[in-house]
Amino acid sequence: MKRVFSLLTMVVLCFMLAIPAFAAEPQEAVSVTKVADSLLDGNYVTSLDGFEAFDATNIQEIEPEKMPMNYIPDLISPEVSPLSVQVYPVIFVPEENAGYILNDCGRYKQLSGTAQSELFNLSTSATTTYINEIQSTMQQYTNLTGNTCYFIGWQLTCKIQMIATRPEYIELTPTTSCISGTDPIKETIPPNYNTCTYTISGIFEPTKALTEYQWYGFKGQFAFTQADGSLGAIDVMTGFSINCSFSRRQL
Amino acid sequence: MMIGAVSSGNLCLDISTRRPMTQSNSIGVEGCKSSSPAAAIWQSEEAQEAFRAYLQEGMKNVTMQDPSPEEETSGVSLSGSDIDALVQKYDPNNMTQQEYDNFLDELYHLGVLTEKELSLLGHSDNSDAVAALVTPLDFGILNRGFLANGEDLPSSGWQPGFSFGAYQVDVLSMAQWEKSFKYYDAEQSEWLPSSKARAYEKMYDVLLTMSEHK
Repeated sequence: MKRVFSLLTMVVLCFMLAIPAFAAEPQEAVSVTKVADSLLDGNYVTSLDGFEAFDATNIQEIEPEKMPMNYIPDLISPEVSPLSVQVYPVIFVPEENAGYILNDCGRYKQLSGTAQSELFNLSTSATTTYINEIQSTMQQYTNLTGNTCYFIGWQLTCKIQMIATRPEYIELTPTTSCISGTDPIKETIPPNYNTCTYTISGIFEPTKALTEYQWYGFKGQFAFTQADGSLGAIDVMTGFSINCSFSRRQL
Repeated sequence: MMIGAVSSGNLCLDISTRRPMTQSNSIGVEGCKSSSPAAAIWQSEEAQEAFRAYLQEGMKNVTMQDPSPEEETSGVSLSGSDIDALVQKYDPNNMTQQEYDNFLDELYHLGVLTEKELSLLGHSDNSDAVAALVTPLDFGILNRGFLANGEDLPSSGWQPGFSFGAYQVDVLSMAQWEKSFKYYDAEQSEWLPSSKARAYEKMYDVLLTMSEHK
């Protein structure tokens, strides 16, 4: 009996010794995943697995002295996702020295809004139909004005949604086929723009014959400050593709 | 009369058959032989180069302040009777292109919008068949980002407008969406509304007052 009691006492003592060691773990291990109104009063609802249901009676406070000086909890998980892609064919009329978009040949695709990288993909048959439609409209223009017009490429307008507690910037680089410029475009996002929509346009020329697969668009990163003060970033890519086979549709 | 296509590829389509022409025919503007006149998309490095020069020049001269602030109407507030008259004729949440054009015309005559703003707001000029077919390139939007705060956007989200073939459009939501986008002014180091967004904001203010008067 005495032995059993000694053994139990030893186990309890070992367990008690382990508690301060656990409390001294780096604070990065604790992630704030649920937010309640009580957060405004200084209470944090924490969970290690990230999926724990909110329980007001089980609020675990992070002691201020154990937190890094710059620790600010993430109120929302950072996300970036392309929302939509709009395409217009671009023509050039040398006699007028003017470029135009064809009004009635616009195509628009609302993307899923749940992926970091998503394109507006036209299948081969859809591409053929589209090219024919463009040709027909160009023919109408030629008939109306008597001027020669040349198909140049596509004007793409891409919308991207960004979500973060502390957004920093978005940097996008057009693909090399962008004739309106291929330099990276970097924009600083105001701090209060926790959920914002970014729209960017460019003119892209075909890189191959219009019967072959090709894609045009933008790729880059959305950067934000993380809870521990360090800079985090998520990759993003969006654009338009033609002659897309079925296996390429889900990029 | 010819229709041309600038491409680094070798596409040369016969408009009558809707099929690519043979490789031997795809040898440039002068060399693209087709039995039917004005019936093909042509390759032309010359046109491509000319377009690039045109684009570069256009983007160099672009200013986001066009129309200049002094050209814009400002502080024009409509009287209650003006608003009532508009409410009788237009539904801010449901307009056809014709109704929208008429609505814009009325705002123009009331001094709310300028002629330049009518074009920015998508007034369709049906008197000109060419204008209905094509729109000049807007250099101001190319390779330049526009940012909108999610809180400023309509809860219904973006909806296709008249240019996408929509017959009836919720113009109030469309205006709320378009007015929210800002561009970054490097000189002032802040996000400012573009001239298009400012035009939409003026229209939105009227539409919002109208919807409150309904």
